[in-house]
Amino acid sequence: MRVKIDYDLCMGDQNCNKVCPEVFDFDQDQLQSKVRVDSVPAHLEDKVRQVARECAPGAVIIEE
Amino acid sequence: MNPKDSLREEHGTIMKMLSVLQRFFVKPMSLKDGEAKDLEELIEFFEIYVDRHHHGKEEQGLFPALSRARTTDIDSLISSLLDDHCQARDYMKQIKSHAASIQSCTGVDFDEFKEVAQRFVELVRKHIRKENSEVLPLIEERLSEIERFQMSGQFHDLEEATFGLRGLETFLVGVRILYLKYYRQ
Repeated sequence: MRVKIDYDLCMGDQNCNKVCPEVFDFDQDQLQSKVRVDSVPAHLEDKVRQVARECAPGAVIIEE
Repeated sequence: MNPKDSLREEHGTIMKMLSVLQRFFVKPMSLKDGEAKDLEELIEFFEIYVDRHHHGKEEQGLFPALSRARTTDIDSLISSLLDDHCQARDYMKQIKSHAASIQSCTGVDFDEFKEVAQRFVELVRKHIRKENSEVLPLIEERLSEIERFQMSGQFHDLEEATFGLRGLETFLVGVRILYLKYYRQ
């Protein structure tokens, strides 16, 4: 699984960073999330799916 | 829904519709059939949902409650957020004025529309990120459970006053259609 952020939609509420800090980082200057990994480790895939579901603007894009 | 989640969810909807507005100003200057009407609906979204409903909740409910809680530096932060609201209102008036004649507009008119719409999108995106980062966490950190409960009631009353019998959910159906049509095709 790969994951990316749609930066036009990211609203900087940091939910993804709180739920899955292993995959998502936060840029304090831009107030936007960043993806830390090229591909999501298998044991974190469910967490990333949860993050995508919870992201209100739908900024977390999963590529299975 | 608690006030923080309510405002957070609204921020998400607004971010989506800013991306739809962005699609309008990167398009060629002439609008196809139906697109002028869609632009009118989009402007209605920003005037009613964003300015009257969402900003109403913040200006009448959230900001006064945080100000009463005497959080450090909150008044200067609120002042800058209110300035953003005023600026956004001014931009939206200009967008509406350009959109009214956009079907028959000259290149110059479209350029003016594009410029002010771009400024609006940048301002509101930055504003939302600032609120999510600096203001929404204060709702749980600084306000008591009773204050949050009262704010939820206030938000409910504002929603009824804005959307009345039509209802917020009905209003949002059209918004979702616009989003799917222009952004997530």
